[in-house]
Amino acid sequence: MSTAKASLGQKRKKQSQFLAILKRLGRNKLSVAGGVILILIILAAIFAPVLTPYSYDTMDSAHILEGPSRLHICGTDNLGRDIFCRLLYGARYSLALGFVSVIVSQFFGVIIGSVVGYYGGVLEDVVMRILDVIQSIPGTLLTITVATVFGSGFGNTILALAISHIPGSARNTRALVLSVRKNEYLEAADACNCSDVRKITTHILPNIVSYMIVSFITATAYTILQAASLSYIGLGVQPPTPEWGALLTNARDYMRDYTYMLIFPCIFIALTVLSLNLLGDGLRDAMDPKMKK
Amino acid sequence: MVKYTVKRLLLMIPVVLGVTILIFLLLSLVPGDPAKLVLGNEATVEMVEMKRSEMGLDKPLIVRMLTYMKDVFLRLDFGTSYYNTTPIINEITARLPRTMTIAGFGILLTTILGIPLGILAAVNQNGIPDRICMILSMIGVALPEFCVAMVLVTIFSSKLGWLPPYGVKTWTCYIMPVIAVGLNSMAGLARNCRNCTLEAIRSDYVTTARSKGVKEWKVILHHVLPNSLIPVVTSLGTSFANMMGGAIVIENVFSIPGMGQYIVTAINSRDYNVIQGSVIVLAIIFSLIILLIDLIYAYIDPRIKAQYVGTGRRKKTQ
Repeated sequence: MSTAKASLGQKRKKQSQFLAILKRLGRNKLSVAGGVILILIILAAIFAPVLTPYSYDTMDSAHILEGPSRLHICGTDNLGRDIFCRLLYGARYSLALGFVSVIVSQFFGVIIGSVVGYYGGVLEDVVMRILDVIQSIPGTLLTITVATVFGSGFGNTILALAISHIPGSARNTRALVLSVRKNEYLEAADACNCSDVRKITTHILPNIVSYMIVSFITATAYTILQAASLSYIGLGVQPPTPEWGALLTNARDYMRDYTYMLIFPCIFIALTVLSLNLLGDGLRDAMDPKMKK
Repeated sequence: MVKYTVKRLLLMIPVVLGVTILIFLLLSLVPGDPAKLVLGNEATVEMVEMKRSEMGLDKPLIVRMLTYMKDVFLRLDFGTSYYNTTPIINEITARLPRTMTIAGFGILLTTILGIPLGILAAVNQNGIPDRICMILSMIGVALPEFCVAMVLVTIFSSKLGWLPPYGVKTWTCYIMPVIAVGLNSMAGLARNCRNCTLEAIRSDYVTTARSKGVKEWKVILHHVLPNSLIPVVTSLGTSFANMMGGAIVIENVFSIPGMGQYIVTAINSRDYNVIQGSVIVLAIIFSLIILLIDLIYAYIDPRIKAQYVGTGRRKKTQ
């Protein structure tokens, strides 16, 4: 497979950049580990039905609050549900909350940010002042307020997380667009009578896409944490759904005597966020042209 | 500096007004009629109508918004909760100090531990402090505040019995909330500080200073730190935002009667007036903190200071 990729890289100059980044990323052991853990968690979420014999909402009154054993690797909760199974199914919800809401917010953020950054002028002033106003509300508080408006539930939480992250993403993109706007290749594009849409999509965005990927990954990590917090205070995803934050809400009343109910969800959240952060850091270093050697 | 301060203070006015409008409009989007909510399901149409006019809900949105803003900014009156007659402002003045104590000591802890740790890590790059710093910052960022809080409660209250698990009776009650809220930001700050310091250490003026034979601690203190700490100071704003957000969630773990608990209770009982008032107050405080940080920033960064001091200075710098 690597030879196929290499020959592709020789044929098309455009791909070799991507390969070089992958190569540099491969040398960073920590981020490779992060990537592997992340892939394992995603696979575990997808193949949850294969990996555990239980279903996440079957209650078993004969096995209530049992510690970790061979039958239940992470123990059972107050209703006799297998915690490992709930964690695996919960990964589906938590990862989806993180990835989907960040994809949505980045999508709109990039559109707003690049248009505003490219055209500038009055439009920029107006939009930036509005963003100033929105961002003078602390992030978590904004998310909580928006989540209050939409109400709880899986879809609504995604919406709330996405909307409250658009301003940050737009501001980020604008800063990136500004940093490349003065470059010669845009002057060249001007000289070729390029349309504005073409200039933004084929000349500006490809040049900042590496930064956007990094911020996508770190934003996902942050959003997963926020989603858990939302569930914890009773907004967000509601209890029967095995989202990680909701699992912790459930653990609150039992953590004194049944510590494993607290520890395992914490480990899952920490591993996911850690692997995302490691991957993001590695990518940032690998994409940094200063690091090229 | 005075000119800059006044200018920034004036610029805050539209932002605060904007936040009020934004929150008001946002919460007016919530489906459902507050009057019906207060009266419950058994209320007759007439009763709801009466309640609506009593709450001022029969007036158009724009009129309600202007009345609200007039009340808030001219009389500091945020109205009352839907369910009782205590003015919201009284509740807020009682609760806000507790939240700000957590956030304030949190940021203190973050700064006192985070910045030295970051500098230490950068100075001994790849050494033991660097490893510790990186591992701590990795773990610190990986858990949400409330998880850290729950783990702390389990260890120090349930198992060891050293600290009270809830309430605000003594100052010891604040220890765990402050640590829980600070750990996350401390990790981030240490990392940020490490990266900025490393960048400064690699720059040419440090090489120059070293080649002139300046002592290493002098190089760090006089050449590296003034340059590396400037971006770190700006990131304190984000840290403080995290603190306030974290405090709101964490108060529910420790049953601290602060703003967070107030907001969360209000969300569960759909008391939108309370949410509105609380969010606006917190946003104003946050803006003030950001302003303070920007002023510190301008004070320590001569490039910004020069723009607002006499023209003679500016010529010199350029």
